[in-house]
Amino acid sequence: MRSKTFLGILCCCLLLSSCEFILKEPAEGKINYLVIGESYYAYFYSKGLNEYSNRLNYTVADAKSMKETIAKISSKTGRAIGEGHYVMLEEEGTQYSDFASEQSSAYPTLENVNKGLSALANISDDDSLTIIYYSGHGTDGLPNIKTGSLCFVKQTYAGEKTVGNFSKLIDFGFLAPQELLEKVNAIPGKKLIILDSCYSGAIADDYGVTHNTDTNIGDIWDAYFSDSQYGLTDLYMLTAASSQTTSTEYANLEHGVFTYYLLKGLGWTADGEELSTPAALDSNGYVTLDSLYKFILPKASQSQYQDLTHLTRQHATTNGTANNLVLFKY
Amino acid sequence: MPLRRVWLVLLLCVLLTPLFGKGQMTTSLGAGTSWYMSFSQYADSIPFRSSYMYNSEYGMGFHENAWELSAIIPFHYVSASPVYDGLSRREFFSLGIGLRFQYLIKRNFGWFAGGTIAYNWYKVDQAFLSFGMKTGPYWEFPVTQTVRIAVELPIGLDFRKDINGVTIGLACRISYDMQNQNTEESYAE
Repeated sequence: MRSKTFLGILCCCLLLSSCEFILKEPAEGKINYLVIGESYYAYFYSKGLNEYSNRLNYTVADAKSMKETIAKISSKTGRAIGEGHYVMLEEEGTQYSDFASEQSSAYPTLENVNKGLSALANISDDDSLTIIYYSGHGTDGLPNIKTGSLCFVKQTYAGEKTVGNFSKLIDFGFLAPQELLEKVNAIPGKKLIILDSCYSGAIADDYGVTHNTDTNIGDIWDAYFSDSQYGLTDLYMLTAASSQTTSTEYANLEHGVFTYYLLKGLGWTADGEELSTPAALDSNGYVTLDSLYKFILPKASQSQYQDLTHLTRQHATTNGTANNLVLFKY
Repeated sequence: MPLRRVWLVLLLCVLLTPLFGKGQMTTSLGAGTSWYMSFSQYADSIPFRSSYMYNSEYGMGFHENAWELSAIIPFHYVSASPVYDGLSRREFFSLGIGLRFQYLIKRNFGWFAGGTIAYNWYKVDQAFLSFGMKTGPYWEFPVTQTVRIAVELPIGLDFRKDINGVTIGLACRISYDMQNQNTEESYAE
């Protein structure tokens, strides 16, 4: 009897000593990031017909503000920025001095984005947090292109020509949600993918653990028995839209609607100014993936930001990993 | 897709079995709280993360002599875990259906076991499926001829895609036995 009691007490002690109430929390790892603003796809060939999607006016502004905010909030909260980080911005002309030139390795072609992701995989370790941010076009209904694919310029301008009112039509490359997941999954440590593009929620559908609550029970059943392994790593995502909705820009905000509220959630007020207290700060003093999502969702889906072409409201999406990711501690 | 339907139909048949039993009809309501330890299926900086779980359960079935078989509808709330290494488990709700068997070994002491399939949802509009098993001892005390109260010590397993949960808790259950027609007729004979 005594030995059983002793064994029971020993088991309880072992159990308790391995839980978060007792163990000392490890130091925070560095933040590495890849910020991409892609605006050339004003000339994006829509649905393979003689239609061209509307020009995106604020993707570069989104990326610029995002880059600045990540740096500022990291410095404010004492979280170190990693040695290597990549910023890719694209704009017709050279309005901004930090735009990469066409010959630069930071010019946002699909090839360079792939190189950037590989570089992040090399510099990251198990303690790192890698943030991948993209603002640009997302696809739907293109032949042989998966819904929610990201659009990038190609290195060469083989397809350049004059069409309609547009001066250029540039060849473009696509990065399908599943390909992006595979590449990001190869990066050690925690990873957060933030996409401000149409149909970007498609990436959450490929995640393979959960499904949107709007779906039917069959999809949830399929997700449980799917072979997808992305959900079994430290991979998180926050997207501007679901796989069925678009992402919009709003002139008064001078940003994409999603990114504007994402920035507000992080404490951004204006470029070049000090950050205010983050609007998405939770009761514990943390900015987390869930607190950002809860802040952005009702704001970005307001009727004033409704997509007038598709008559849909923007619906931010996050993936259903079992964990909530703490980004910054105030 | 067809395989999924076959499984669902089979599951439904199994779950409805207790409702067609010939013993004494019984209905029960249970509530409890548990320590929910979640073990992730990927590398984590800690062996498991802790949450608390509030659970309630409605059951309907039949019992005869010492054993009882019920179809159950469990509802759970699992809290967020404390933050450790930049992560905390998300809180979620769970609603399921299942089957529960219990056997009274001694006058007041018995053992129960059950299995469930559940629809779970996080507060961030994402839902997932889980399968659960629960077993443990219970102590039962009759209050009147038709009402019984039991105290249980359930130990459970929760199988999710990315997490396996282990629960240890305390629960109480109140059961009401109805005299169904079949039983009365058989007594009359």
